[in-house]
Amino acid sequence: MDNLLDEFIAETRETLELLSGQLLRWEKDPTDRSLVDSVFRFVHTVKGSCGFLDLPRLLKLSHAAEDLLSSARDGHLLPGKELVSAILAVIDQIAALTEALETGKAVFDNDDVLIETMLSFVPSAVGHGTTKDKISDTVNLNLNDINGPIDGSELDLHDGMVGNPKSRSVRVSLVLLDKLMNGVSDMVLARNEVSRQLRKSAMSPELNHCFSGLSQSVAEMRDTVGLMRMQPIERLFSSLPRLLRDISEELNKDIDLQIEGSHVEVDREMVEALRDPLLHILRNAADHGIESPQDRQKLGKSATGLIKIVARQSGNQIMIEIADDGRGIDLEKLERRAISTKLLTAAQWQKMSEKTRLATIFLPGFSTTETVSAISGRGVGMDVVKTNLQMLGGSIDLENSVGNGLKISLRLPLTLSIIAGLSIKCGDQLFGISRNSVIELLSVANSNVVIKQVGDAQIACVRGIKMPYAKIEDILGVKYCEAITGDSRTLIIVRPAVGAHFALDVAAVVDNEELVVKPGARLVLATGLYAGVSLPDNGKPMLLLDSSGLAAVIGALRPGDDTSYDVANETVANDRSEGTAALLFVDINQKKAAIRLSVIERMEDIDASKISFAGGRLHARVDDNFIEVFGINECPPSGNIQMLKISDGQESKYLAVSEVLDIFSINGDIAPGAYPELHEGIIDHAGETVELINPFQFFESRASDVRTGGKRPLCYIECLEDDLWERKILEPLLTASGYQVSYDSNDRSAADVLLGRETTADIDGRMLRLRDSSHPVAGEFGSIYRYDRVGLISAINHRLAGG
Amino acid sequence: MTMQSLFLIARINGARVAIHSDFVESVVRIQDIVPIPRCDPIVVGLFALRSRVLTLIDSQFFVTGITQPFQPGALAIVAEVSGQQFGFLVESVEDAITIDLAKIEKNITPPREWSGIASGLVEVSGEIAIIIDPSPLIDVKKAIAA
Repeated sequence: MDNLLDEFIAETRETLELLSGQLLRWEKDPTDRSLVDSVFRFVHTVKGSCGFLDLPRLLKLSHAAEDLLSSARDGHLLPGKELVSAILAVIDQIAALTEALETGKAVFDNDDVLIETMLSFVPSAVGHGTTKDKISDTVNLNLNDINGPIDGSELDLHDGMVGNPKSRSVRVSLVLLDKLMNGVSDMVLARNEVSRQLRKSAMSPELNHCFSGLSQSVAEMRDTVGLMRMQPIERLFSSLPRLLRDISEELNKDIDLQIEGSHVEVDREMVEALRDPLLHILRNAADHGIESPQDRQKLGKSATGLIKIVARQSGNQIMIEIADDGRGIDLEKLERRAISTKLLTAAQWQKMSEKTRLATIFLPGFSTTETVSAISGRGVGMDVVKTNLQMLGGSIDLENSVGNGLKISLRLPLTLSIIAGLSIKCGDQLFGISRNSVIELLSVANSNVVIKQVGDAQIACVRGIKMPYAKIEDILGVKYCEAITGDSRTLIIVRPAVGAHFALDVAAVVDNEELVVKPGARLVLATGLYAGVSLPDNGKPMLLLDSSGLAAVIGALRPGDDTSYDVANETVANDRSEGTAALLFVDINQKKAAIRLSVIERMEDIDASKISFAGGRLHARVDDNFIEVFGINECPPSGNIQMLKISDGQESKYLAVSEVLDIFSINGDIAPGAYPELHEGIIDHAGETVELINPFQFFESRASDVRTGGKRPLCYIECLEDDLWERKILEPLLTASGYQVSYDSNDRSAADVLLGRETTADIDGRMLRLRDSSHPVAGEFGSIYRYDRVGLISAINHRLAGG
Repeated sequence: MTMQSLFLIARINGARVAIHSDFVESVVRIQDIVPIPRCDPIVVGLFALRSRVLTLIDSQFFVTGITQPFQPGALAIVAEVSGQQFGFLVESVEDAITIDLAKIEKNITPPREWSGIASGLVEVSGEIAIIIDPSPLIDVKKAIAA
């Protein structure tokens, strides 16, 4: 609502300025219909908005002005000086009221006088004189009366602005904003160049100091400018309640909408791009998900359905969850539907995991409702949503609970203008491709890859799955780079937003970096092969490949046929009994080992200078975050360390490796090892015995120390004001472990646990006494040695449990 | 009062051309380009101008229909055409000259190969210059037809 109001104020203020000019021109040239039309349109718009926003005074004024102008439009009255003055007086009052909306200052209410003056010009108005002289008399008189109060109120307004500063906004054109951003980018580049030059020459400490100051402010400016393109996602969410109201009325359902995280900020363009997919999902949830009130009551649910939309930012991604408490997806119904529409065979269905089965709702031409309603169910639903999201570089996930609802999670980048990209060598130049569309990287020499000749074309067979295949040089018509032909080439499995998977054979994947996407010229985009251009740090422009365009050239045209790859992958997995994919690598001690592929997020090269030993652990500093490093015991002196980024879904850790060898399926049994917490077991890889690393060990260490979830329990510490140990040692330990700490005796009664070193007389079940010696002294049994961290935390937990 | 406008006088394929200064942002020497495979032959490649990435157009290709290999240090006019920025290769740049718009000959047809981009002829310091509008050079359909 606030947003709408701000918008209204900004818009009205802008048009008001134009309007006075139009009115005055109309006065000079009363025959020009277009002028009076445009004035009428403005007043009409204001009137509409005022009614909508519930602004009665503005509504009354604009309504009167509209009446008058409508009469002028019909040619019943011609503008004269007096008439225009009267209209202007009303418009000024509208302006004053609009400003007042923002400053919250009262405006003198003489609206009725103004309106009456103005309407006296309308011929049909009864009770006013018919001769022109008489009318102008009244007008002059009234205008004189009015002038005073208006001036007065304007004066007040200025006072109000000084005394009550409200956040004001300026509307800036996107062109200007882009210019500003370009300017700042230029500045950053220039700074880098200056820094290079300075390093060459001997630099005085003063100059160094000045330059680092400049450098700092340039960096800050770049960040600020970046924020200018962001806006709260509320702009998108604010229209949803109204939409849902309309839908639920049409469906005769009662649905509540809960929205959280409206303040999350995303790129302006992203807000627009998300609108359609989000509306679609919401419609689906209301139509397919939520049951009719009668059905809900029979099921013991409340008659009112609930749809919850939550947005949150995590890193450089935004997550939007849309959860309903409806019936969820009925897998049996899904199966019948999928098979009856011949999208899948019964045999395929049998082999699919639940997740893949759910994902069939994203197949084109799929719809589960038997009847097509006006709202959803025309079979052009979720596949379009998925395609749109993928084009934005996002992904969609389903969490189904039959009978209890469906949760759809969208993951999107915060901005459209920066993508995570891979740079690919082709001939003697580099091309970028969005990492989002890349599923897998394989060495062509990998035993799982077979390239087969089919007539003139070639097909890649990856772990038994056939897919279109081409060399990037052939697609682009570029000469092969001689230097690299000796090495083994890389196969990129690409999932385009439009089209089926295909395998792209490239000379090498060179780098993994964040790329700022700049739009390409139409002539360049007309090739259909490029999505845009970018300027990496080396200052050499780079073309970004369009995965959908490549798919079209390569002949991977079946649109949206994603499941075939997933289904086939699973089929292959099932055929090979265990069939879990694992990554084979050489660890830092030059020993081969394997780890389940599913826990690996990606591979990264981390500069040794970013790794440090602190707080008893090795950490890598990446984008202001600390990520724990395993696999090495000390900080490496220099160079890049190859890391596997492994994740348990919440936290990420690095595992340092010397070399990555292969991705393979685990065939046969996993034989148990002696240390199950370190190794899941022993497996066979091409006749060799390797240990399968247990990722558990990387995550177990930290999570156990910190309380998670729920309210932070309050610990009241009983001590004197100058007791340093409690304040410097105990408090940080408790806070770091997830507790709140208070020394205020008023909090004592509300505290969950009481801690103290002094022996107090009163017996309280919540009391936990700490002692100075590691050995209990007589009379101090039941106390905890104050440096026994594990014992202390477990004793607190014991107290919390009511022990 | 006569209407006057500033024009940049340059040479493309040996011919003198005049480009309205409204189009022209700057004149630069280009040392390095990145070719764009499978693109229209009139496109030479991409080049970086500070933090911007611009598309370089082989202006003489429009007239001759023959592509010329890129020479480092080539001269280009940086211009914004329909919201996008381009570099237009030229052989040389002579001067920026104010031309009286009334003196532009609209009745004489420019040489045939220039039709499409020429909007008239004008005599500048004793020699004829073709007034050109660079927009058709970057027009997707026309360029492909050419």
